[in-house]
Amino acid sequence: MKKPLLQLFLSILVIAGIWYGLSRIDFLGETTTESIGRETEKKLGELLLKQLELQHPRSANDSLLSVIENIHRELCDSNGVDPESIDIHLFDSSVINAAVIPGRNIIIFTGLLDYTENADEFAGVLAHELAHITENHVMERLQREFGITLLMTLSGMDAGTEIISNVLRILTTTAYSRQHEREADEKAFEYMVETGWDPAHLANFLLRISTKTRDGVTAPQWIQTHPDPRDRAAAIIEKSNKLSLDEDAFRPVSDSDWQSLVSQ
Amino acid sequence: MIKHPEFSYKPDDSEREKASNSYLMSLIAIMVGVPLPVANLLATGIFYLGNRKGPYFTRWHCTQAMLSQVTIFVVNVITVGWTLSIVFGSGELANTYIAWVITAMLINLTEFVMTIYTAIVTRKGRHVEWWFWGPLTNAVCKP
Repeated sequence: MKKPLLQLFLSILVIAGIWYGLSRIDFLGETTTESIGRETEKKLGELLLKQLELQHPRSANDSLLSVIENIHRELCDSNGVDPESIDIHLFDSSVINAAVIPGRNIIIFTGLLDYTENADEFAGVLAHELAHITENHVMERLQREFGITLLMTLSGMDAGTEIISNVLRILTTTAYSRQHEREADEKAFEYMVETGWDPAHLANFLLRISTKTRDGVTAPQWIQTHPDPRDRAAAIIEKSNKLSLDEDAFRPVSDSDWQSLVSQ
Repeated sequence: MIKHPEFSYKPDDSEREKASNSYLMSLIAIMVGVPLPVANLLATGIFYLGNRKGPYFTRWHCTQAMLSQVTIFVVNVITVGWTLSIVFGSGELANTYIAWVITAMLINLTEFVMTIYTAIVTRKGRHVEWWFWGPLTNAVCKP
């Protein structure tokens, strides 16, 4: 019986090798994001930021921005990400959303912060957006939607043009693929754990925001652009239950201070 | 992949014909079997049951044909299951899926070619042992 087992093992090895080899081929054109170049990505990001500034004023709440940057720094430092390579932009808007735009920019609308109960919940959202950057989801998505040539052309355009508005609309109001969202959730979980923060805070935020109704808005944009929050929260809670986290971990700001900062 | 060792005796014409038919049976099933993987197994399994008390040469080749179909069945079930999860479930079209479909097609194609060859050769009375399935058949099918 040894011979068939050995031959079975070799056959599985060969089949797995063929499968692995074929899976390295980019059939769907998903892994060509590097070819667009960091400079073009940066230019595109600047354009989109200008476009955003035409639509929403930047927040003047410097104290809040400072706390957000502390959270961002803590997340990055604990996870081997250069915090200086990512810019955080806070916009005054009732829109309940946070998103990533090209050039390693995270945009946050104050409407989303109003929904958070504490800084830890916001840290969960930030970790999720950070993961979209580190996993290069933004450019993969834009290249799929628009193609490299069009993106290169876009970077030479001016803010205010219809197509730039369209790119911004897609990035802030439509969903990533389920695979990208799952990856970002998993990565966000890791980031939170590495930073010593309980990922269950992200789950709590997801559960609350999915059921909460405010000002007649039943489904905040950040939720509309993501898969079912209850499934995501359940997955996070299941993994969180197996964790033993440091009770004395760094907390950027107390719950009451966070609330007062957000409401300023 | 394929060996031609001497069989323990010289099979008569009827044995050769049934042995060859066991492969033809799985060959016909392959045509239906790509979307419905269980058809392969059913067709070959029924033919095997019909000949399990037959002469050794026939039994041996029916067993080899059936064991190979069990393997192909597993491969095709994975392929169909994965495809259905993409079409109707939460699965997503990815490079790994496309790579698997091509791998499964290569496995099916290899098995298809081997089956045609073996059906022709066994009809002429020559014994054919496939890689892995030959030694496995020797282990489970005794004179």
